[in-house]
Amino acid sequence: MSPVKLESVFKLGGANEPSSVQLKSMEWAVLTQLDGKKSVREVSEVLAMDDMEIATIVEKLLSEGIIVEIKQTIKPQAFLPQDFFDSMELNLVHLIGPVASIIIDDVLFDMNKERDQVEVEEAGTLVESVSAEIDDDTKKMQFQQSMLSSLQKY
Amino acid sequence: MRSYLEKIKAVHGVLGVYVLNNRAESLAQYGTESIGKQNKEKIVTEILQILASFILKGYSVIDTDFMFQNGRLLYFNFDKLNLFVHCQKNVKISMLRMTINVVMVEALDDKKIVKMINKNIIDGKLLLRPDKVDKEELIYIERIEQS
Repeated sequence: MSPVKLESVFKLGGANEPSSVQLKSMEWAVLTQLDGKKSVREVSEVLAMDDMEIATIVEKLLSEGIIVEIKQTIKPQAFLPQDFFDSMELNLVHLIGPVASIIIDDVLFDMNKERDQVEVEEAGTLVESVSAEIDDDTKKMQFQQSMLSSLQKY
Repeated sequence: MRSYLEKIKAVHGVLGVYVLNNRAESLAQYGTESIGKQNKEKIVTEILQILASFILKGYSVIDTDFMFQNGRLLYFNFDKLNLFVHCQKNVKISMLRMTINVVMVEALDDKKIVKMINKNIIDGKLLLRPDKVDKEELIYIERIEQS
């Protein structure tokens, strides 16, 4: 069995009921804290236990089948690809001319970001901020319209 | 109208989209009856009264954002109608605003929609008339003056 990671989260397993095994008081205390939300580290803080102590107890509960680990998927941070910026710049050039790239860079400067640092989550904000720089309402609308389909891909 | 509202509802986090005239009468809606059928008219009337109070005091209202039932109730003012969007707290607001802009431009260009609006539109921009302000509305106006 691989060692217990302090970031791991556990919940009651059901393969072996706690009532059918002998548990010491500290093991019970740990078990009641493993609620499927708190990590092992958080439980150790609540119970004022050291890392070694809690890892030993969690390993025992795991081997007895009383608890199971909840697999957590960590969403990787996704950034907007260069293609997105190329397409945005092209759309903007058609509407307002060669100043397009300067406007995009100005907006990025205000957002305190470089082109390769804009997260997918921020795409809408970026496009809306760029469109706010277009004075002509019709062109502003055309820009938003053309960018909406690109945004929906992300 | 349904196909236009459907596009707005497609934005992640949107629960319901409602189009109402200035007397809070429903013209169209899409999505679940998330506000609650009975509450809707009352809430919308109250919001329109508040907005009208601002307008009477010389402010212009383009859109507003209210906290509502653990979510948000957004109001968008279009020339001849009122659009309310009930959504979750985590809605991507910029995405929603742009979608509404684009969709409503298309909708207000559609002859069928224009006909429907003209048939149901209430004379005058808003519920409030300077000569017919009730007690509740006076309170709103006083609050605005004090703020």
